[in-house]
Amino acid sequence: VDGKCFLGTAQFLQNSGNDEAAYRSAVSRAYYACFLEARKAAFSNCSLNARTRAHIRNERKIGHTVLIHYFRNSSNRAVQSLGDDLASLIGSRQDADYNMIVTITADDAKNAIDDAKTFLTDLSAVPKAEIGQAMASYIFQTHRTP
Amino acid sequence: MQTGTTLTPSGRISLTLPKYEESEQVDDLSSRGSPDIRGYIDNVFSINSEWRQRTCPLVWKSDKPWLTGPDLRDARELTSLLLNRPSQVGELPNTRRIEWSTSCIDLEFTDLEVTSAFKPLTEETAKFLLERDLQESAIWLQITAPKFFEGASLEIDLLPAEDGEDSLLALRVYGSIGATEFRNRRQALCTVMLETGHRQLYEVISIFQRRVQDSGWQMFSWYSAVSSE
Repeated sequence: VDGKCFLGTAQFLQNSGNDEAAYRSAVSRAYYACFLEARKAAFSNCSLNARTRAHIRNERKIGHTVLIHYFRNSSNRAVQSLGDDLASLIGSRQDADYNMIVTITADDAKNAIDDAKTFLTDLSAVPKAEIGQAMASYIFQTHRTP
Repeated sequence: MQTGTTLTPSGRISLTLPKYEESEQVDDLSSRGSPDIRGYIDNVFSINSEWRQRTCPLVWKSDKPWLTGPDLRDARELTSLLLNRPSQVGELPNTRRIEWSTSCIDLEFTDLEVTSAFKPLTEETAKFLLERDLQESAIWLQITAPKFFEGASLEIDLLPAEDGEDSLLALRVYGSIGATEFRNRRQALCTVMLETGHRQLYEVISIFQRRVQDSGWQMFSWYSAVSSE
């Protein structure tokens, strides 16, 4: 299964009736669809040298917030914007998963899904080398030479 | 006499600074002769009023009857300076920086209140801002964000960090802006954030929209009390 599959799950949940728990889960799945695809793009396009420096042996070693840092660190505006999108999605997702004070509506779920669709479209359009470069650059800035 | 920031078509922020007289910019406050603004600031800060930087961007508590007419104009200009150019305040002699304090949570709003569309910060959020030296960036955000999301209620809130993850700061925008339009405005705000030197804030901010705000607070209109004079 790949990350994009979760977008379908998010849509299913959004359409499952008047159920805030389903809306919350839809927001969460929409984020994960983006996170998993972004993480795969970053890992597979980053140099081995940089990954070794940061002890990133597999995709699972890349956390949520550091992935946002990678994208936002890019000198390519389109890649940087993807980092902003991802930051927006993760914030919305943390509300959906943990913040029971706010109300998550059907519109919130729809917004998250729309945002995720836009993100995945844009992610597929940007040069993947730029994403790998942004990740490597961030690692070299933040990790000392072993 | 209005103060504010506006978003130009290019996405850049343009500051509209108030004028004491038509030709005199707020930047000239430090060199003004009479009334001596330096002495005036001394009075305002040390004797007659309480200034508290809390959540806000700024709350000025004063119930002094002298605060009318020309004094009020000076006060408004000073307020504007603090709001728009907090880094310049330290350059004025015989003044002190307003405290960033969460201790005045029970401060009563009295005659003057300069506030924004923001919900008050939680102590946890204020602590996060303090620890990362993000106070000025938070003030900047509180001034700037309402211009990008006009009419929306806003909230800065610390998001829960998961194991091994860094904390993120949420800017919740309570509104009903379409997804594409919201994204455009968010990107414009991020661009200005970087261009105006708030990179550290940029690295931790998560800006997203919520349709329904939780109960228990109301949006204050921008400069409501001051402009109602």
